[in-house]
Amino acid sequence: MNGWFACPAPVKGPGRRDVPTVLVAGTPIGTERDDPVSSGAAMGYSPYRGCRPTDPRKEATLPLSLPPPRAPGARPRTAATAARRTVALALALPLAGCAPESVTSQGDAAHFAYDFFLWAAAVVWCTVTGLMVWSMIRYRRRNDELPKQIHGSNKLELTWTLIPFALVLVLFGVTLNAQSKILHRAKDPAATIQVTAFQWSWQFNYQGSRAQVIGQPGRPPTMVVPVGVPVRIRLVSADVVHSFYVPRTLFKRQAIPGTVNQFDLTFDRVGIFHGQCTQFCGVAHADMRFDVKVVSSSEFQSWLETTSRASGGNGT
Amino acid sequence: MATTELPSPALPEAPHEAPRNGLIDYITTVDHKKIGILYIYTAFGIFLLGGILAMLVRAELAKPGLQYMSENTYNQIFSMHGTLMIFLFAAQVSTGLANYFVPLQIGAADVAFPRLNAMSYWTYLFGSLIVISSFFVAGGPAAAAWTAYPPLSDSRYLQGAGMDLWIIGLAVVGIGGIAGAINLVTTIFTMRVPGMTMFRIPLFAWTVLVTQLLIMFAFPPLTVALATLFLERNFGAAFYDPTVGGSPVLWQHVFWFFGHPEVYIVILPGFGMISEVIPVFSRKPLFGYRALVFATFGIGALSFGVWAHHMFATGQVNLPWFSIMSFLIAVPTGIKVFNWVATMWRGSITFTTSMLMALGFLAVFLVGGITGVFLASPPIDFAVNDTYYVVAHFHYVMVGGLLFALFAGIYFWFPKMSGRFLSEGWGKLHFWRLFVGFNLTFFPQFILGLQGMPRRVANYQGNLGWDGLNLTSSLGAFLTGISTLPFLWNVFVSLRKGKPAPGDPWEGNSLEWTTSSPPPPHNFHELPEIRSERPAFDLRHGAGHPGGHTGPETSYPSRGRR
Repeated sequence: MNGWFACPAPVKGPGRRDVPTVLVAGTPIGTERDDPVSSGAAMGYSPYRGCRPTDPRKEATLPLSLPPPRAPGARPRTAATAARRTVALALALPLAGCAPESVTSQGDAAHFAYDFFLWAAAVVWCTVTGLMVWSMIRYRRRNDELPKQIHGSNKLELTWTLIPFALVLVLFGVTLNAQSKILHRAKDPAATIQVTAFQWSWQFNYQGSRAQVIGQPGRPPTMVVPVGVPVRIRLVSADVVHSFYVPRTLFKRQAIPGTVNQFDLTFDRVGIFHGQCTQFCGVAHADMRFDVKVVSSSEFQSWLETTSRASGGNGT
Repeated sequence: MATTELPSPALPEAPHEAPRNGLIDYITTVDHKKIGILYIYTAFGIFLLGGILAMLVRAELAKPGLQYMSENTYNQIFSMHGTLMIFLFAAQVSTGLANYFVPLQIGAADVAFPRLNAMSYWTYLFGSLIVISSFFVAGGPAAAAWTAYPPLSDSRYLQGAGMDLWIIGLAVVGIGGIAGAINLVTTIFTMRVPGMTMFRIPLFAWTVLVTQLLIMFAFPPLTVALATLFLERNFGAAFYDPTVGGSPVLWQHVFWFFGHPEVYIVILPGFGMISEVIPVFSRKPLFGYRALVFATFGIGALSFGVWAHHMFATGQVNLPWFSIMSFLIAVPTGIKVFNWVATMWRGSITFTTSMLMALGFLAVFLVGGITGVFLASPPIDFAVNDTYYVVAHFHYVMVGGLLFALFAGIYFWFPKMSGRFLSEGWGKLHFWRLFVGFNLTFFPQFILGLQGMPRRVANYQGNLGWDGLNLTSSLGAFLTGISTLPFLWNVFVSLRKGKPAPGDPWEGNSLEWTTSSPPPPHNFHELPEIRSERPAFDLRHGAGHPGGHTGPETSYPSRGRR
């Protein structure tokens, strides 16, 4: 009723098929066409499509995953396959709103919390909508007889006070658990980057090095970080309030003038990830983009040296 | 049938009833019904303007890149869309219905302070005109979003009179709001007809009471925030400038201390309207009247302890406290939803447009409420805060919650206000377009938000996979916009040629259905004896009816003796 079926729809939107498919190393490339049943799997097109894990190693850790995408153009051959795919799709429907797979260990904790909440939400939504739809069908007016005038029931009302109360306490527990993982800061981060947000781009300064990267509104800068180790971000703003956000880290933090906000990101795979300011910050807010490039430690070290020399040459 | 004569002082002076010229009458009136209608018309005018701005926003976002306007124009349009809809429409339109119906529901001849009531309305109108006038000044209207976070809203970053007019206009509207709140609260506490105990006033009157109490405590902080921002912009005060010891976070605290109760100021009257409509069209009493009253108070009280959940991403607030408080607010809200469904359970449901709107409210608000629980969790909020997920969430709560409830209320009460029915055919067309259009607009935005699309962007890259969902959302927005046309036509035609409505066209429960449609200037010629929270029901079925109330106490939690 409320469009919980909406997730597969965008895949059929205009121009979707022509979108470049590889954004992250290791993303399986689906090229399925005109097969409505497989559109759930086709969400693997973009890392932001999200419902399907793109890293096979992670598949088992998610509460629900779709079967891997099939060969291009293939049709379901047997009834069993078709049934399996239908069931998978049906299970995917409530997950239409699921989050993109995270690329940091902190993001994994947020993703777990999100999935947990989504299942709880699905149960609540189905219960209430079910009761509502049943009442609409079963208790529509059939005659002029006045129905029994029931004013309430303490027992029932206590039930639907205590069960939601218990439910939110459980959700609060999940929240605290995920939060401590996300906000945990390593004693000894492998790199510390001072991120300065300004109207309307970003500056990255690597501490202990002269390396710096400065972007412009039309030319998004790239923040290079090593994989597999905690990277400390020291976030500041030079003018108004901004917000540092890389969607696939499932994390953001405001850059507030006069305040230093610190947090760690531990990327668990190499790749280039899109980032953007999410706190409205003036005329060119929409253009305040950047990229995060996650590379191996050795690659990071050599990049740092090269950039440091180049930045030093510029008199930094 | 037992009736009591009104105490004679409550009857207005005879000259008051003399008919006057329409326009002069409306300008000089102190009649709560006419002031209520003025509120409703003004708020709807602002709603239409805000809706046009929303369609401009969605037109720009239908495709990646910039098509129709500059980034600055886009920023002004979405800022004014939010400002008009939240401050000047959503928070005010139910004040109009409250003005009209609260005195009727409690058996009063008018509000406690009729002249103050007129002043509140005119303050609201002229404050709104000040805000809207910013479209016509050099540099155009404010472009700092409806939240106006400094330093962005400071004169260093945002020059021009538009932002100052925004501040002044909202402060003026706020003053009218506070005066109106004092008036309505006093009315409910002191103007009830004998026999109308507090636990017999209809749920709508309860929600108005709590709403107006929230306004009394939430609007003054807003006025303070606006005053400091004005000083900051024009006289170099340093409340929010960190280079001289101020703090941008301070604004977020003060603004959201107002801003979160504001959400409930908007939707609680909607809850009240739903609590009137569902029992009537289910032909059953409201399930758990007292539980709903306590839940309303619970929501109102908790709403002052949750403001910083808008600030999780600042890294400057105590996360567990504001998280658990926000979670807890789901409990009384859940009680309400279950009680509404239980009211329908074993009822005898008629699907009038009003009831359809109420059911639409339940469906839409349920999604808004559930996604609100997600946002109460900081780990999830870190991921989706300030993305389209939040845009979708609060439209499901505010627009979905208020607008559907409001239309339920308007289709329900229009016969009382005008003496004529709205057309059910046009009404159902209105409902289905609105319901489909609304979900088509906002459900895709949940997914866009999860995929990382930030809110308040004029532009997005074509390679991020956001195109299809944005186009769907824009088409939905235009369907939603068009859905208003059958409604406007319906009102226009029905006012002139609509089917005449009797005093009690729906077999209503509350006191307003015992007087004529429209009510006389002094509201009641005679009042029935008040024996329960359903005086009109008791009047229709007789005090001895098994479902009716007989004793001086309400029979809650009676199981419906038979």
